[in-house]
Amino acid sequence: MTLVERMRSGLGRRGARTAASPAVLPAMLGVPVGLWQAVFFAAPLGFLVVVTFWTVKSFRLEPDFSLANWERILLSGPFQRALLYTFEISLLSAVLTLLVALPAAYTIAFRLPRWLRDLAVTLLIVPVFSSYMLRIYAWQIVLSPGGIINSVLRFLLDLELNLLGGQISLQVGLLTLTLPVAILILVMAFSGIDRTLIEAAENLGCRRVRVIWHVMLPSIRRAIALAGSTAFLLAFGDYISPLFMTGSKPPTLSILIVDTVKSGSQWPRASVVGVSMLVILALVFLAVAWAGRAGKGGK
Amino acid sequence: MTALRRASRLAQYGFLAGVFLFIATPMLVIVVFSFDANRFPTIPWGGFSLDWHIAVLQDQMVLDAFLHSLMVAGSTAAIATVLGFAAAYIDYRYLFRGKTLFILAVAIPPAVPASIMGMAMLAFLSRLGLFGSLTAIVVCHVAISTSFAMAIIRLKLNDFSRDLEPAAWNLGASPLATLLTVVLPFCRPALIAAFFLSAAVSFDEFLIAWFVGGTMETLPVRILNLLQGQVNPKINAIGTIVLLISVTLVLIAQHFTGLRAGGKRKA
Amino acid sequence: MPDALVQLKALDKRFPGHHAVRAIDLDIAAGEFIALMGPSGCGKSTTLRLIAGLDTPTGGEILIAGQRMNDVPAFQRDTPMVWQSLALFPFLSVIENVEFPLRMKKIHAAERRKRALEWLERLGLAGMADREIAQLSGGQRQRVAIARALVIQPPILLLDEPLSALDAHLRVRMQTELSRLHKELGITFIYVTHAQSEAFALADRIVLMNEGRIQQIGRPQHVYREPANAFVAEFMGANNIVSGTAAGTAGDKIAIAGPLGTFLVPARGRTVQGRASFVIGADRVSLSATGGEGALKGQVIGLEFVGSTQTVFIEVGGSEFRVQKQQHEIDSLDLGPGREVFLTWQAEHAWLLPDAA
Repeated sequence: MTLVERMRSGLGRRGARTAASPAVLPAMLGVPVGLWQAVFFAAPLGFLVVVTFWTVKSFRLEPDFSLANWERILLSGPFQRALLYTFEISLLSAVLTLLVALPAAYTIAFRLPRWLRDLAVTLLIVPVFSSYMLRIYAWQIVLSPGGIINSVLRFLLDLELNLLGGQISLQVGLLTLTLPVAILILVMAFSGIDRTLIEAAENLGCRRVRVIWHVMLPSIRRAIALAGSTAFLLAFGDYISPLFMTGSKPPTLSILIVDTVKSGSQWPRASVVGVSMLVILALVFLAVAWAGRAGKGGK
Repeated sequence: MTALRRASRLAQYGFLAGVFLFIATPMLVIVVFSFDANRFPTIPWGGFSLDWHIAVLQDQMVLDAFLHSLMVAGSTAAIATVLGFAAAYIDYRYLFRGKTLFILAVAIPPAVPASIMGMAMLAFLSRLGLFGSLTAIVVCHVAISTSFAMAIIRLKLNDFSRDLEPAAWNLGASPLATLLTVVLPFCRPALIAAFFLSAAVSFDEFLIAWFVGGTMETLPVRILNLLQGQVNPKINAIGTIVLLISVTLVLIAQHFTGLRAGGKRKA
Repeated sequence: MPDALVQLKALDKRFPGHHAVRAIDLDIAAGEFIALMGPSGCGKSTTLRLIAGLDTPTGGEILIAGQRMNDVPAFQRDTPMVWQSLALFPFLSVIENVEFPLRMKKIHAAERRKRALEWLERLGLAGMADREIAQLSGGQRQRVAIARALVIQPPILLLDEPLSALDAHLRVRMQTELSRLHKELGITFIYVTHAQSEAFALADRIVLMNEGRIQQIGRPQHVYREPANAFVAEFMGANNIVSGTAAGTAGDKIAIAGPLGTFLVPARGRTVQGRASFVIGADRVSLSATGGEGALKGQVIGLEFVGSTQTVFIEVGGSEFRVQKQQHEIDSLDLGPGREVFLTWQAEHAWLLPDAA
């Protein structure tokens, strides 16, 4: 098995201490994982790309090599509108997330005592893995015309706001998704800044605000890009917030996919939407990475 | 300038409190109003009632879904921890052509939007005849959770001195014995954390489970289906239980990672 | 050495981009304390790892007790090592660490514990059996590492710069302990170090290496006083090398003529032609305020005070001489930078370098 042979050859002194070990062990360890990911991750996605070229004849999916699906979808009005819309809300979400996350992360990293900081980190990790869907449902309750906020407003100011159904509620939903992760990334980044840089800047006469702007933010440039990209990624692929906050009007790309799949056998078209999304996400990440490297200059 | 500084500090703390309130509100709403006698959660509060919780515990579909979720999460956690350890150890120890691709294949899945992943899985697995079973859900969840498991264990291996394995060989341990008596015990806290986090990821995942599970519903899928209908007060009750479980799983995982904001504590 | 315990025959190790060990030959006798010495990157640690089986040779052979070891994996050789980083298992207690090799040999629990406790006591760690590694001091951890290596009573103990992580005062104490252990156990110690003082204090023989090759093997004093080449002479530190051309003989001595003058050096049965160099130890040069017959005139560049000895750096005709003297010997000379001073030495103390290159 050439993979095993390659592992045995081991490049370099550090890390590849294969001298005293048979190549059986790495094969035993590596093959199950590799195979699992290949079969249950790479293959389905690969299959998806393949399906985009297939055609549906009398409700049956048939292998083909046709660009018809691509033409049909890419040129269709609804798709293009959904694409633009999804891109716009994701961009907006990324920006809003950063605007909220940066000050919050700064406060956590620098203005809280250690125990409170650890508590804050815990309180941020928990929502990332707990029932995003339920939390959006909760917002729906809170923001709806008969909900908590409006009840309070009606009681206090005799006012009723139409909070649900618009960009505000959508962005609230997306923030619920993106904020915890973004704040965590930035807290880790802020905590990791070399303190001597900050002290040097203050020693040279910079006030706090200037230290933040000129020393800290540039130091965590990569983390900011990561937090923003992650927020963009999460928002771009989200299904729940647009569904519950705006009732799928207008639809995002994920909603398009789910609806197309639900409505029957239009697999190739749904696949086109999916593959297009992946391509766009990849391009966005590459653009961010390239911008990061270009900005670094001669570092 | 101290008045200004004090005001600015106050603003910072206030802003942070607001952010946490924003993050906490949904969860609080769910829990608090699950005990509200009113059908629709609103102010004023309708009086304390356990009705919805009782109704949930008697709902067979909910109970089945809950059982399914436990089974799926348990299996996912076990398999993902094993695979995640293998991937982390390989990343730590070996250098080979194609390693980047290998590690990427393990690390990337959570970054793919669940709608796309779900659709791809559905198309692929139905051709394999695996659609509509808990196995199908487990299989997909493992592909995603392994990424988290690998990350946690790989982080722990950063503290694993490069001399420890050669020292073990030198003292008479075969590579397999070294793995079992040195590497695994060292990684124990990370393995536990990986297990519970993988369980949390699987327990919480709804979209792929919805695509792939068919009539075999997990709890989030049941909730999703309930949500598509009218506002249902049982949802708050289910939600409370789900939140409780998720939070517990994540807290246990976090305890064993020893992750801290200013650097790692030696776990 | 016909019945040497460890034999390295044309042992060679090549890494991609780095030829670490170049076909060296070495025989190590049973029971001897041998030190592998040299600057960083000279191949001493690699050689030790090859003996332990942690790397495989790219050429040559390793024989232990007459058996070829090249294809024997590390865990089947009885060559336990004391590591520079100590490599103690942090998740095991002190006694569990010491028991580890016995556990690998499938010795059952009661016997394991008994032997481990014996060794802990022998190394002055009685009562620490159940402590965590993190609770121990540097010196205590060092001793746990040694106990763990010796608990299986191996014929060979490998040590890779084991004392370099300790502070100076502890280092000296541990040196004494290692020496004592060696005498008590009578097994072979193969010790890697870059510190000359350690090698001198502990070893029966020194192997000096540079760039993957053995430069000289011998007893410490011998290597120090009778270096085989210029590298050895310089590495040993306090030596002055004077170069010139062979210019005839005078009795049992050879004359070497160079820019600084002509000097007589004992021939010791060797003949030499053309370029030649000799070595005169820094502690063998005498200083005086007034010149005399054959004295070299020089100017003091600087002084370095190390405890009770002074090293004086003197510029003589474009070359730098190093002279080491006890403080009281040069007090009267009132030396300082720029002062003039005269150097002499006895011809018998000069050592002709066999390899002038």
